[in-house]
Amino acid sequence: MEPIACTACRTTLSVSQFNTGAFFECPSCGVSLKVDAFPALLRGIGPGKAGEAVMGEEASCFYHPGKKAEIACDYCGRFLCSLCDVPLDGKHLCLTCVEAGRKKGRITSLERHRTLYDSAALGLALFPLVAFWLTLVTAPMALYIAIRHWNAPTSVVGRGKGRFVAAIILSGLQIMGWALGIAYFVSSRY
Amino acid sequence: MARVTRAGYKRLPGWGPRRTGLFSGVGTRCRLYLGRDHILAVDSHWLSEDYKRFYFSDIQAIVTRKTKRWIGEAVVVVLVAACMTGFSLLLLGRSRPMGGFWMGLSLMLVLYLIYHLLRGPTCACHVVTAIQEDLLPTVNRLRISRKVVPLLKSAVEQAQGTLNAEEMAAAPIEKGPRYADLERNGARGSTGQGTAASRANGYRGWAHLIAFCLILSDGVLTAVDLATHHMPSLMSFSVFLTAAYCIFIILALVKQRNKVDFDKPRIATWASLAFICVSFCLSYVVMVYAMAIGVMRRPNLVASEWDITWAMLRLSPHSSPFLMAIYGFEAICCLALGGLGLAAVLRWRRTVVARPAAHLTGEGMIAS
Repeated sequence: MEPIACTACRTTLSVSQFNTGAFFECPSCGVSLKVDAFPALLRGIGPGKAGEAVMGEEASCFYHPGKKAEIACDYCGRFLCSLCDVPLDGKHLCLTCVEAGRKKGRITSLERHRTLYDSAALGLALFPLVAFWLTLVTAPMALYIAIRHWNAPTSVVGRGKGRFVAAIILSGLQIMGWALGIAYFVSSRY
Repeated sequence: MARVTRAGYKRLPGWGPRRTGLFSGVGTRCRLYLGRDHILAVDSHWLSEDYKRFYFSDIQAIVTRKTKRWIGEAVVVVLVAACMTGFSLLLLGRSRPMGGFWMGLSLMLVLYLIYHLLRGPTCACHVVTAIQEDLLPTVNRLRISRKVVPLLKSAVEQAQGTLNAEEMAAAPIEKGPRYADLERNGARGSTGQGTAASRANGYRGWAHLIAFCLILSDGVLTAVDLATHHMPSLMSFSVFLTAAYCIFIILALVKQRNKVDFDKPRIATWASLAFICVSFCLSYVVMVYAMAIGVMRRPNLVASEWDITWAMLRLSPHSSPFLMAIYGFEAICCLALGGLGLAAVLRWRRTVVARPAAHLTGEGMIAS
């Protein structure tokens, strides 16, 4: 079991005070702490599997021909030994598929960053309203971003196309306003 | 009742900034979601999001710590609001709009104080896994932790089962990757020898202490000058203090480089540097103002740099609301920065530098 330290002063805490449901004082710095410990604390990190050697006519791993195939990759179907098997979201993948999924954003659980085009479009349509003349430039930009990235994924937690729709409506109204204003200016002048 | 999003995540109550530096926390807002097999921490920036996942099967512990941040914050807000109210009352007699502006600011601070007190005591909640210990910025109030931690606990227990005291007591202690990583980083060593790196370079915060004491003294001098009749000799001393704390802030910035477990004094030092920059800009404005006044009144007397400096020193803050506002701003900033910085350094010295040696070895305590 790996020790757990006080998050303020880093002094190691006594296990007798874990899972009591009450706050206790750190013996060093005196801050009140509550620790909820779980069985993973005892388990730690297990050693990795090396994979067994191929015997006779047994199927071998695609990446390690000398090792016995244990499972097939759920994406590409290649045979994998226990060393190459990456369990992820209840599936078994090979490293190539994991890498490809991470790069192309196909495996959501590997994504660590997303650009929110819907927020960008809405921001471009909304904030320049403070200085209305800016909308002459920003409204077409907002409309372009909203249409261009309509199919781009939004937040991982899942939200609809509301921001895109609002950006399109707002920027559309701004463009219409400018068009009417210019038309009125031109007609009144000539 | 927690709301479920389209992707099947249940949003947990609370939000908070992930503070990783002086300015980086401003635009970052963190929210917590409960997934099928993991906790998702979403750091929202303006146009992008960063994700961090903690799988239920990997979580070793959830550590909740009560903090005194809410008391400190309340005290600072009360002090600043009191200063601002006094200042606005002083200004009201001279310039009604300027006084009204400062009164409005102090009213906003009072409203914030009420909101802050209504949210209740603060806390810090960490998720501990085999390789890391990460803060959950959303669980920053005890009231929120009482709602969120039981939800997390039940989800983790559903995935892992429960752990009883006998099992924990019987388990042998061993240093894993988290322990090694924390130890390697010096201050974060879970043996309590966290300050190994800090101790190694022997720095005990003297540059910071002197710098913040000087800033606080300058704040007191400026406040006294504001409250009483303007004294040029007092202000000339204040100029020397300013020069001295500029030197010590630069020294402190050098000393705090690569220093671990030094977050709050570091933030206060950088904030002081930002204040010095602003203060120099304001001094330039005052100098131009003093020159304009001096040249207008006695064109033949303002001939050298010394004359300008003397004209600046003689310029009373009571002569115009504009100067009064600049002096007030400087006094409030100096008092707040000096006080907070000093408190942060003293606290660091108390908790980190002067930690009793008996607590530096963790194994004995675990055995108990």
